[in-house]
Amino acid sequence: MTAVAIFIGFVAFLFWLSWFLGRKAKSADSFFVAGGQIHWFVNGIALTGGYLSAASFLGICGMIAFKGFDGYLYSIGFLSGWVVALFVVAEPLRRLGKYTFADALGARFESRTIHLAAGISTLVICICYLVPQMVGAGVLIEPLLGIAHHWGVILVGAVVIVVVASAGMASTTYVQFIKAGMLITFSAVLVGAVCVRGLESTPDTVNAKGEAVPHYAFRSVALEAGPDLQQALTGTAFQYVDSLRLESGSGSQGSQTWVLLDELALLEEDGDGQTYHLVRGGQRLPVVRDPDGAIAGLLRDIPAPERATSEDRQITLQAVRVVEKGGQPHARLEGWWLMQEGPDGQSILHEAQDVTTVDGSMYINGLPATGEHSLLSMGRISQFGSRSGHDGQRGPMGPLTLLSVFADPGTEAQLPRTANLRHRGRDVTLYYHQSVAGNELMRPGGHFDITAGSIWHRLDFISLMVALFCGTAALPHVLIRYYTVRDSAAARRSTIVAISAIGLFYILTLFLGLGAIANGVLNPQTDNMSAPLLARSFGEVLFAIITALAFATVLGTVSGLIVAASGAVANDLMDRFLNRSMSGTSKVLAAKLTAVSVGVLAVVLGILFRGINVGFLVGWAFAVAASANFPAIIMVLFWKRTTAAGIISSILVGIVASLGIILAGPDMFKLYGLAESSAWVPLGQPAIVSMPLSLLTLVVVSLLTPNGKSSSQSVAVDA
Amino acid sequence: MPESEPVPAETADQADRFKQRLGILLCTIYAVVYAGFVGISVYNVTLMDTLMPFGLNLAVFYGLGLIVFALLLAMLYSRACAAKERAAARGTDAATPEAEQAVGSSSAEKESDA
Repeated sequence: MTAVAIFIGFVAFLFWLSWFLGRKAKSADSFFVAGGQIHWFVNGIALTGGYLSAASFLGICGMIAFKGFDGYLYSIGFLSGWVVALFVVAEPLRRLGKYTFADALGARFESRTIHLAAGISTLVICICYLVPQMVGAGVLIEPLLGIAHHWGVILVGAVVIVVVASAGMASTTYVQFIKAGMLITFSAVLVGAVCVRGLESTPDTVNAKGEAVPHYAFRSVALEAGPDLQQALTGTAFQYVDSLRLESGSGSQGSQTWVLLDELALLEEDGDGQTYHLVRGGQRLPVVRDPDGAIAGLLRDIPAPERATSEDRQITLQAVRVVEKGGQPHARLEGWWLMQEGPDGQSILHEAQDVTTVDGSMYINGLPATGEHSLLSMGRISQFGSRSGHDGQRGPMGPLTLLSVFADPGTEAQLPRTANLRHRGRDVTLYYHQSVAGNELMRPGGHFDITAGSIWHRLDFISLMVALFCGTAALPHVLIRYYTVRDSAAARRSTIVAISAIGLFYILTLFLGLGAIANGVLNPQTDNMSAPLLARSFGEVLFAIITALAFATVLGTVSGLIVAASGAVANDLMDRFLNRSMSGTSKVLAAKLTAVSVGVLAVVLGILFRGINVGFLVGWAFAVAASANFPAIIMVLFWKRTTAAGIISSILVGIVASLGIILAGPDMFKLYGLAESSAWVPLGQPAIVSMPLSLLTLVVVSLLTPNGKSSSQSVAVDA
Repeated sequence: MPESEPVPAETADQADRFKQRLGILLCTIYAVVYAGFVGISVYNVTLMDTLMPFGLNLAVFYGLGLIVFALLLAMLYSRACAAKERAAARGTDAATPEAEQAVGSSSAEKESDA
């Protein structure tokens, strides 16, 4: 309850703030760029706020927690993009423009079509960037309020639409300033808490209700290898049921052997004599209510001599099979185990978790899914290497020592992985631990399989790094902030403040992601929740604050994007392209209508893209921005022969090529429910193809069209 | 007096040209270092396991280094630009001899550009 109260209090404060500051923003100028009167430091931190999206916080931490260093590639890339933005694009562009990227292009070319192309690209990039924010919003709300993902998405959509439509940029600048400052502060607090707690291999954790529970170590059973598993299991608590061989569709893991085992788990009778509890995976679950005395009946009916062998007698209550052994009721539960070859020719079975759908109802680990019974959190360090000298006991450690423990080749981390299979006509999703050596965890290759033979994985990796490097300068909601301060020097100082703050935050993300592994808090169903769940292991208050800040991060970024999208429609599409000379008031009205429509579209897409890492999704938005806008910006600034037709065709080719490759690529095919290998394009990250294509288009079309309308001096002349 | 009219524009223009060149130079330097990181990852990823100071591996060391390096370059750029802008502003105020010199050097730069 505390968590919800702190959360609601924070969001209410933001509402009040945006209303308070929004009263001052009435004219068109103040709606879009706050009248150019924002102080450079405030603007710099607000830039940070707009840039540190849900992706930075949720996505990067989550990807580090599940895939290791590859999540951190996004941090490095997102920050490096600022180098291009500051050194090459910021100042010349500021001298050119008024409100938007399209205005900046329009300052050089008297072309209405160029406004159309730039307006479309702004809209498309904003929507690509909005989707992950919305997915992140749903992820945050789900554990906090216990509501379904899509309600979280709808809630954020509604709040943001109200904030933007009622106030505009002045409010979002200050909201982002406060929020970014607090997000960095509390992330640092959380990293401090991780370092003070230190690293151990059996960390206590919290359950779905936020209660502290002791660490549950997933079991492993070593068996003498033999053709007959049933025989090998004799004398254990398990009975062999079935086994399946799962051919892995992609990656280097090859095939897996999954074994279904039957296990008898003792049912503890409650004081009322009617409720039976089952202790399973550290959770004490009320599994069976027995109004008719059925269990007592089962036990009583059997004559004492036969009791020892009465396992074949069973009753089913609330979908739990109850059998009797040794005079005690037991639940007969089926569970999946992953079989791996151990040393000395043994077979080792590793316990996994499963979610199975039976006749429309969901079962988790063999029991009906309820609020009290959910998947156990996963992840831990199972073994500490000797190089770092860490003794495996919890206790304060320095941040660099923490990194060195993880990077030790002798360290072994267990990370959650997912497999899907069909058994008895039911869809089974399995969650199991994969052991990853410290040195592999802490180097590139966990997500982008660069060590595998396929050239496409390497190209994906390079392509991502190119997109992140070039994408930042091409994002519409970042560019718009160059115009909210007084002059070039202020814009530059803003950018440096932003780089410092963002750089610091991205260094923190590495610790948050690794901390989430070490503290065993990972939700195997979605990596996006890792950072808030890490906070939860330090108590509900920190959890509520971090969640509220992350929620505000989503709110701030979404506001910035929607303002950029509204500006594109009001200024570029309606005012310039359709040539409707609009008054300031009707311009604001058009912008607000756009805000509402874009917001609604983002909500719908946010629901559809549930469960995909949000950092990964933002990476795609960067790829689209780098392909559509980056060649246009650079060439307008540095190539005098550039023509309006060249710009227009480059933007359109960039959008179509990048979106086309993404939609026809393996990652989207997985989302469509098709095999990755059947994708039309083997490349998952488009920038390495679409950006050069867009640039080439620009050059070729510019050379083929007359250079009439451009004024080559406009770059140098200070407006 | 009419002769001194274009002087402020020239000095401001010169500062802009300086900033632009410096920006492109620093960006190129950064891009090379960044490409080095990507290159090692793609062509010899086990090199990333190399032990560096503080017990870090090369991947983390290089990654953190890229973030710190970006910040250092940004500060360098900001200082250099501010100094140049101040010089340009002084040139505008103090009118003649210094400004004359500035004009001379800026037109020389233009020629070498072309």
